[in-house]
Amino acid sequence: MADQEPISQIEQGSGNGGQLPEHPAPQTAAASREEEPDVRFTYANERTFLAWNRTALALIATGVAATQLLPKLQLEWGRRLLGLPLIALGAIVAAESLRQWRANERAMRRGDPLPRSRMPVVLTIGIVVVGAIAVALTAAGSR
Amino acid sequence: MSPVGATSDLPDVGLAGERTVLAWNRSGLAVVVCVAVLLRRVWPLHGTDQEVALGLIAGAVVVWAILLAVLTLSPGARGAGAPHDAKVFRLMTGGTLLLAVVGFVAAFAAP
Repeated sequence: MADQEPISQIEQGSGNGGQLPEHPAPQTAAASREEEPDVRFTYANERTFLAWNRTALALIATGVAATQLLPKLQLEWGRRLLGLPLIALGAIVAAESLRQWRANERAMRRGDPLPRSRMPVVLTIGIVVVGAIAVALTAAGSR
Repeated sequence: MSPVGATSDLPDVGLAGERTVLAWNRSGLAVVVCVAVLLRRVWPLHGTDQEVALGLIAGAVVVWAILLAVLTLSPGARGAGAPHDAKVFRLMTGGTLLLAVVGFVAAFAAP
C-alpha cells in the first residue's frame, strides 16, 4: 500500500494496482508532498463516507414513503411538505459526504489536520425543520 | 479489536478491511430498501406486478454486486481488499442522487 498514487491521480481513476504509471504525469508541488496514510485511516474514512451515504438513503426512503404511503392529510400539500424536504436533505447529505471524503483523504495524505465537517449541523437543522413541519401539520389536522 | 494475547501495536488491517466490506454490504441493503420503497409506489403490488417488482429488486441487488466486484477487481482498481478508487465513491453518490431525483419526480406524480 506504500506505493499508491497521490489523491490527485486517484481521483482521475488512474490506479494501476500499485504499479508505477507507464507515463508519469509531471507532479505538482502539492502532489509531491502527499504521502500514503495508514490504510486503517483510509478504511475509516471510507466507512464514514458509507455511513453518511446510508443516512442519505434512509432520508430519501423516508421522504418517498411520506409522499407515497401516508394517508392523505387534511392539507392538500401536506404529504409533499413533509416528504420533499427529507428527500432534499438526503440529496444534500449524499453530495456533501463525497466532498467530505475527498477533503479527509487529501488532508490525511498531506498530513494536515482533518477538516471540520458541517454535516452534523446540517443534518440536525434539517431534521428539526422536518419535525417542526410534522408538528404543524398534526396541529392543523386536529382542528 | 486485537485478539487476546496480541500486542497492541500490531496492525489490524485485516479487520478494518472486513468492517469496510460489511459497511459496503449494509449500504447495498440500504439501496435495495430505497428501491423497494420507490417500487411500492410505482406498482400496486398484486399478482404478476408483485413478481415483477420483486424481480426488479433482485435485479438491483445483482447489478449492485456485479458493479462493486468489477470496480474492485478491475485492472484500474488498487487490488482486491484495498480501499476503493474515487470513481466508486462518485458512483455511489451519483446513484443516491439519482434515487433522490426519482423520489422528487414520484412525489409530484402522486395523485
